[in-house]
Order: sequence, then C-alpha cells, then structure tokens
Amino acid sequence: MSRLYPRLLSWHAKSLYADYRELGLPELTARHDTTHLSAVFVATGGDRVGAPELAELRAKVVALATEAGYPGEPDQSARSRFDLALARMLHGEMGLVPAEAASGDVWAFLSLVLLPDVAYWRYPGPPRDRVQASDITRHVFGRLWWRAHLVHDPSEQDPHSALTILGEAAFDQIYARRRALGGSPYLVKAILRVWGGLDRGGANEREVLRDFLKRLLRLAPFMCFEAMEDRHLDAELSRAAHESVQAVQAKKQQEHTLAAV
Amino acid sequence: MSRRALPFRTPGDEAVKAQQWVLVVDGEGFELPEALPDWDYQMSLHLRNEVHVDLDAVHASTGLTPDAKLSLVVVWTATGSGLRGTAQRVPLSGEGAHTVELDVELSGTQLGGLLTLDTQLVLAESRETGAIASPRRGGSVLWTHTRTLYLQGDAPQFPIAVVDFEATQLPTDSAWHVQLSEELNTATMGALLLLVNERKKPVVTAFQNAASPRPIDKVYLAAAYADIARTMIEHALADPDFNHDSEYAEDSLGATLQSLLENLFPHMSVQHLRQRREQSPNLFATEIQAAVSIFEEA
Repeated sequence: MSRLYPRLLSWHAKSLYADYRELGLPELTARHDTTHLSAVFVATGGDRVGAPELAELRAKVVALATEAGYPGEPDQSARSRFDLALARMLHGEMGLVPAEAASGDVWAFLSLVLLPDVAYWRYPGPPRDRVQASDITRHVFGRLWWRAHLVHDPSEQDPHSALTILGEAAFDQIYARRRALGGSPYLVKAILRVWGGLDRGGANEREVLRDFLKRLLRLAPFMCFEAMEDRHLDAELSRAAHESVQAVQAKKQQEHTLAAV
Repeated sequence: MSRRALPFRTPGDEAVKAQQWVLVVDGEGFELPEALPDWDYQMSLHLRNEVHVDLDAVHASTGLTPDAKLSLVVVWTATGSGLRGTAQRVPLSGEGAHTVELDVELSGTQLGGLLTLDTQLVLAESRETGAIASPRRGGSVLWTHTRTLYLQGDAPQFPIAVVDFEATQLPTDSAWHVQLSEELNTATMGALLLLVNERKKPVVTAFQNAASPRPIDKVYLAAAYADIARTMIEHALADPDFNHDSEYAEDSLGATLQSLLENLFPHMSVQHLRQRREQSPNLFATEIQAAVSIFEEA
C-alpha cells in the first residue's frame, strides 16, 4: 500500500523560507511540526500518513543527524555518511511511490515543516531549491530518496549497496540527465556496475564519467538500453566506458605534449 | 509505427506488424482507450498485444543473418514518475514468420501521467561482423511501435486535493484554485495541483464523480475545465520566455502548456495570442470558452 504525505503549497513554502532566513537551529527546532494548517493531500492513491508516523519519521532522521554530529557543524565525511544513511532510511521506510515522490510539495513539507532544523543543519543558509523543492534533484531530502530508488535492487542482500559506488557529485551527473538516462533504474544500475569495475588507468574520474555519459547520450536515440539482458548491456556500456578512458588519456597526453612544446 | 533516421538498415513495414493493445480487466480484454480517467497508483495495468515478425524479411532488409539474436521488447515510460523500464523481453532468432504474444503487467506505483508503451524489435547483442550498414551494436532499435495512454483523464489530468480554503490564504468562498509552478521545466505532475474547496460540496461531488458524471456534475466540471484552461493559458502567456519553440522536457509543465495551446488554438502563434490577450482581455477570455467548447457535453 502506497502512502500519501502532506504537501506544502508553494506560497506557504516561500513564506516559511523567508521566515527561516534569520533563524538558528534551536529556533527551527521549536518551529517544527507534524502538521501545517495549509498542508494538503492528493485525493487518491494511498493511505494518508498521520501525525504519529510523521513524528516517528522525524525521530529517525534526527537520530541519523545526531550520529553525524548534529547540531554541531559536520565535516564532509560526516555529511556523506549522513546522506547515505538517510537515503536508505527514507527510501526503505517512507512507503512513497515514485509518482508521489515526484511532487516537490511533499518534500517541501518535510524540509520546512517536519524537519527544518535538520534541513538547515545539512545546508546552512540553503538556496531555495534545497528546501522548497523547486528542483527535486537538488532537494535536501528528495534527491536522496530518488538516488536510493534508482539504485535499489531487491535481489541483493543489501538492496541499496550500489549507493556507495558513486559520490554525490558524480551521481548528480547521471541524475541531471534524467530524461535520457537517469529515469531508468535498470540502466542506472548497469552504469554503476560497469563504473565500479572500470580500470580508469589514472584518468581523472570526473572527466571520464562526463565523457562516458556523453557517449551514452549520443547512443540513446538509436539504442534501447533496457532491451538488452544484463551481460549484453554491461558489455555495451563497458565498451563505451573504455573508449572514454582512452579519449581522456589521449587528451591529457596531447595537453602534455603541447605544454612541452 | 514511428520512424527515425538511423545509422543502420531497418526492416520495412511488411516485416513487423503489431496489433492494437488490449487492456485486460478481470480476465476480459477491452480495446485500450486513450485515457483511463479513474486510474490511481493502486491500479496496476494488465495489457496484451500480438506482434507478427517475419524474420526472413527482417534479415533481407537489414543485412542481418539468421544467427543474429534479436529481441522483441516492451519499454514503458511514465511522465508522472519520470521512470522508464522494461515490461517484457522475448528472444527471437532463426528464420520464418513468428507471432509473439505480449502479456505485460505494469505496477501502478511506478506510473502516472502520460504512459508510453514502446514495442521494439532490437538486436539483442553486439555483432563483430556483418553486411554493410547492418546493425552491429547490441540494443540497436530496428523497429518501433508506440502507443500512449493518459492515466487519469477527463477532469483529473493532474493531482487534485480537496481542502478547506479557510485553512489557506485562498478566499474562503471560492470553489477551486489551480496551483502552477513558475518553473516551467518542472515535471508536470509535481508542478500542478488543483485545490478544490471542501466547503463547496456540489463541486467536490462533481470531481469525485468525474469518471461517470451525472448531468449536474457535467455542468460543474465544464465550468471548472474552462476556468482551469484559462488560468493555465494566462500562466503561460504571462511568462515572457514561453513560446511554441521554447525547449521544455517532454514531461514538463512548459511542454504541457505548449500542448494545451496547440490543442485549443491550433495554427495560432503564442505572440498572436499574447497580443489578443493584451488588446482585448475580455474577448480573449470568451475565446477560451469557445476553444474548450464550454457546456457542450453538459
């Protein structure tokens, strides 16, 4: 059974975002709530989540944040650990279906009503898309749910194990190309499999990934990645990935040669 | 069947032929409609189709040989979730004519918005050698048949929430409000929300009956539809960057607004509509009533 979460309408999200601009974490904690007068639920599609369940969700998120140093300032490593743990928890326990998770208003409720303190701790002085969810691929919580969803493999002992293969910035490169590549969990998982076993021969990871994704985008109009079985898809992706490594190495070699001249 | 300019030879229309998709409900098949008005996430879709593949004709036109491994696949894409996946994959190889029975079950939790079903004949794995311009890469698409289906149709084209307007900043006595994102590149399902005031019981009832409306419901729905269309058109025209040529993602609010304008005002440029709205806003509002054929069904 899918669960329906309250949605915070955009003008209220804007208003709360403005209100929170000058507030510190203790004040944001005091402002948190499991309900909001103007929060709405869509009419059909599942069971509504009640206040006790929202309180439970909040407690779990706060516990994960505390493990990562909340309310103290986290370092990069603590932020990464928090994101990974939170991605697993949100995707594993919220009971959201993808069509519901595609709504920015659902995520705005979480970041501005239920968990404003944790949201602003993770992104101090956040730009609006981090908390208002005008772009879910950048939302403090929404991006993590989608990251977990795209790599989720129920046949694995740890269904979210692929979360650790790519760092956040690298994963964002795939997710930003959502229409062509990132909307297909089957393809995303294959990209991660191939990437995890790729020998980059010392070539810069970011440059190789960018070139690799460009090659896939060029192939997408006349290839159907989802049509192939795992091993054949992996073989095609590996071929493209190796071409990328060679291209990046050749480019670097050319730059060295030019610099020497 | 749709065609694209592909960098390899593809079979002609006579080589692969698909029948119409059938929707299976309680074991009984119905012709798949254009829209399913009362669909929600809890409703999975059971669909069947039959595709006739003449492998000899495919080989003759593509340069592939009978040892080539092909697959007939059904790939779905849903704009509501932004997801894409494989519904069925049937391996094909050898010679002669084959009739492939497709039988797919799509989980409602993955879907929403406009569902596209692409039935494709593909090269299942790569080939090192072959005739000139024959497909080589695994996954090469040789033939495609596309069918779309609107999940949630008629009135509820986008999410609806019934709410007490007293608890919002909206006027308490109003009946509905369309919330539209200013970011036209946002996915439509997340960028639109129709709020219906729970204090207006007849209107709430009309929306609840949208799948099988009574005559009185039709009147309310017709009035709401005309007003919602006007609100969306005004929203589009108020954005100076909005145009028919603006590039929006397929599932975005901008693309939905472009489609709405093209349907209601075919052959009219956005610039022309903007001028009409500025020069004579009252007449323009009335023209929208005519474009949506207000009260025609009521």
